[in-house]
Amino acid sequence: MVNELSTIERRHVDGAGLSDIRERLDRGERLSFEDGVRLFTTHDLGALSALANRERQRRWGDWTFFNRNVHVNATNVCEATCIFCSFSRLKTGDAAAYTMSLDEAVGRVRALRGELITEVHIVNGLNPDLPWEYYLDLLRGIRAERPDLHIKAFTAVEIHYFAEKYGKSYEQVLRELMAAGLGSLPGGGAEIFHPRARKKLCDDKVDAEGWLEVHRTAHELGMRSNCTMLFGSIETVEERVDHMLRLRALQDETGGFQTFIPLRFHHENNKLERLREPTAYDSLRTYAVSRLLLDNIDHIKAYWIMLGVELAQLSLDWGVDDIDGTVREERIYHMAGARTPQTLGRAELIQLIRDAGRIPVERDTLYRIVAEA
Amino acid sequence: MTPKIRVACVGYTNAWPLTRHLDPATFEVRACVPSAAARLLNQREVDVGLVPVASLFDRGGDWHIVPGLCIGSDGDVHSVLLVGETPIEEWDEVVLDGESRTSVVLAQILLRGPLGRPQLSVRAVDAGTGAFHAQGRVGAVVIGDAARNLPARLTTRVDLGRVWKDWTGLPFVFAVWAGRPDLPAGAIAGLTAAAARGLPERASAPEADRAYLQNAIRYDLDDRALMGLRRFVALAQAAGLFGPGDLCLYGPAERSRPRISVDGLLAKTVAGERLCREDALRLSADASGPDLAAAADERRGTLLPGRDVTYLMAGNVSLAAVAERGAALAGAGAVAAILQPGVPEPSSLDACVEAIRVLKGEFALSVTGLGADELVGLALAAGTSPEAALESLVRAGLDGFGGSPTRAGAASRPQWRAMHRLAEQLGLRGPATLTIGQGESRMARTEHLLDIQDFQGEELSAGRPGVSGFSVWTALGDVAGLDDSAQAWLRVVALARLILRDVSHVTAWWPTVGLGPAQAALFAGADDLGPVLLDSNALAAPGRSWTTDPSEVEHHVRVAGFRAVRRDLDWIRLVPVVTPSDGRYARF
Repeated sequence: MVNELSTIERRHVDGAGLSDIRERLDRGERLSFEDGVRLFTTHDLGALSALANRERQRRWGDWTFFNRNVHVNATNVCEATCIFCSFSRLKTGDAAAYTMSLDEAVGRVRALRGELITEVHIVNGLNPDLPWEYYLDLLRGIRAERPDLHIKAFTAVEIHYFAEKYGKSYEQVLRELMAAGLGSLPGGGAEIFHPRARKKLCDDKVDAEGWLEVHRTAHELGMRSNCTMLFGSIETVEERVDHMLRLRALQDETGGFQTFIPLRFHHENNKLERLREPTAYDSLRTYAVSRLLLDNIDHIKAYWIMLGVELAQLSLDWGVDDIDGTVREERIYHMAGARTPQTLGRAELIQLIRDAGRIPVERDTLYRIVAEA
Repeated sequence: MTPKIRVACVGYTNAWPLTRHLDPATFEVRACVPSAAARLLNQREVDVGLVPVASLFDRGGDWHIVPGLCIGSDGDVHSVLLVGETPIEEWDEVVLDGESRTSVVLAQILLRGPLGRPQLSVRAVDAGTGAFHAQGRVGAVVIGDAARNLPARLTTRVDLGRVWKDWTGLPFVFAVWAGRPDLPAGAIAGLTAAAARGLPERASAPEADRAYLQNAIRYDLDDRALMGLRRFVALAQAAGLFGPGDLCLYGPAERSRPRISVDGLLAKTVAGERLCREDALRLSADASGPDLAAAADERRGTLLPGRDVTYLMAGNVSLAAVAERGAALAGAGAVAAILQPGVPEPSSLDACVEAIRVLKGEFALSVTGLGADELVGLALAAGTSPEAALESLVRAGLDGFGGSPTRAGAASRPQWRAMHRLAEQLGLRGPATLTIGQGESRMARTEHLLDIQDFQGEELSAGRPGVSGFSVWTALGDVAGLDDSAQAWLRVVALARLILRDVSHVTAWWPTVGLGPAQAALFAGADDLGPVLLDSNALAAPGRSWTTDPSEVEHHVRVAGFRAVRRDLDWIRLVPVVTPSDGRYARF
């Protein structure tokens, strides 16, 4: 009952011309590229909610995950020239550029001695001025300071950069980082895989094959990771679907992805200011379609910090089951103009989920339940 | 009969508050020593056990921990000590009492860390013999009752709960309820219930144990205790003292909130049938948000075919800055001003009359605003009757009525009805409203909608026009627990479409929730976005901002697949005379 469409939802979905897709989902069948495009272009947010929410309920019921972590962006100096990024092409010495000393970076974690966090999330610019040891020492320093924290660090783009810059294979890079304390990989840097959009967005970044190969290697070494998609800039609907299906294919191979995170494009302080930001409508349909297409990925995550509280709450009816956490020290989105408060207390986060009619569950990085909220 | 849940318990003093009230109808209790509890779990001879933390990592088992309860400490624990005849700095060796491996591992970690004796050699001895071995330059870990009855010769007594607390700032957890992931239903509730009965009885424990149980032992497995537990496990694993394994708690007992089928009621409302009061209340209590939205969307499609979404080029005007706001609104292409009289003073009525003259005369704006409560307030302050006050406002040129915030329940009051009826008789139309998030219940919201529908029914059957629409918004400010989330707001939008059978328009009044939720409301029964030129300084909730740019509003409507259409106060659609860019609109 809970996991089935009500009569009215079913009529609504069929009325939107999606009965064949609904029937395939009824039977637990996989959706195709064409299905994905049709879902994106249906212009019926209600039908998407009904279908995506059913998939969410089947997996998680009303459970809604959150966690508590600290974000460390150790350096924003970056060689890449991605046009959607406010860190783009920052050089050491530029006014807005910074690189933390190891002591400073570890100090961010040390300063949270009494904070009830379970994870350190580290992503950085591609800084040409740092030695390989910097990253290993960063991990070792944090691990020595707080052995109980899970370290989720370095996007595939960074891993690829390390491999090229320090002359190692992906596997070597990952093995050395794991030995120093790396626990899992975040999902950033995927942007849009399709070469047309990728060339425009981030021509000098690792390509789709490289990004996927880094994650494949990580999964083969026993690490879990996340995956993302940057939506709402210059990509087409077909390119979004293509992106999701490439992730689905790798997941079929390795099973290593934990969660898919659609990242909404923010337009301030970068070269795409002339573009309008995606509206809630676009965010919600993207969450819904990803829940429906990515049948082999457990979780769909919406960062409340990007969406704002109201939209994060609504997203829970469009397939999202995770709203990330009480984040400290977030820099990237706030440099791009996100106006949400930078932290919400745990109690507020729990209330936010309850107000949305769901059951809050605190998790750690690997989705183990940390506490009954 | 369901089989009983099998529990392994240790007989320690500090365990009885958790175990003595285990309901024999639910649980079959097996007493054992701590190390045996883990073995019984491993061999599936019991379902759940009160096990020392160290046992969780003996075989890397897939244990889940019962949330909320533990045996721990937050400072001095009194029953886990390092003892000796000489100071720790002089010890050559420390013997570890084998009875509690958790305490032994704790001692080893603390010796390596804050106690500063990382190289000290350790030796295991028989359970309960620690104090005997502690002689000369040999120290010992002693636990339990032995630790609370030490011979006087042992002058060094270091409380390990205290050292841990001083080092980490966190509580320490010695033992938890743990079991396999597929714990039988009812186990967690039963364990929790037993603790709820047992913990208060500590107050009547034997004198010798009372302070220990009440003050030294901490039974809460709360956030801080969990953090202490995670820290301890990580340190022990890093030191090679624990095997690999993860800490994982049982999740909330319920995966899903119960959902009740209201298919029949929804089908009725979609077909436009009237729901009795009882059914409407049932619908609002039991229907899921997506269900309500789907039904409301269908109803809206029947009543108002097509994909038009209207909005009103209008903004609020306070009495403090009439000319200034009037000019701003006129300059922005407004067709109407919404008068906000503020806290009524004796002069407010006259000021309203004057404001109407200015707004109409100088800026050619239609003027609306004022609800039943505001009108009564104005009249009272001016020493006149509401009827007379409204007449003077109408003489000054007031074009519309209503649209100011209304609390749930207002529409049941005779005064509300009388004022709305009076306005109708004077030729004014306007929407009924509801502000949610002021502490009212879900039921009260639905009652409010039912009251409005009752009123509307009466008006229509008496040949009067009734209210022109319905508008719902959330109260300003974030107060927890008031159920004014975007979901709650959407529910009311959808319920309004379903319950207000005789009201044509439902406005998603979005400034306090944002344009994002407003887009979702277009799929939940709303057909209008209301006034879009509001002064955001006066109305923004703390920490939020919104656009007052009509092109943003239009953009949000358009990308969601709808057509944005301007309207006037009487819901007449305005169409561009030539092109929208020259700013001239005419009635459709």
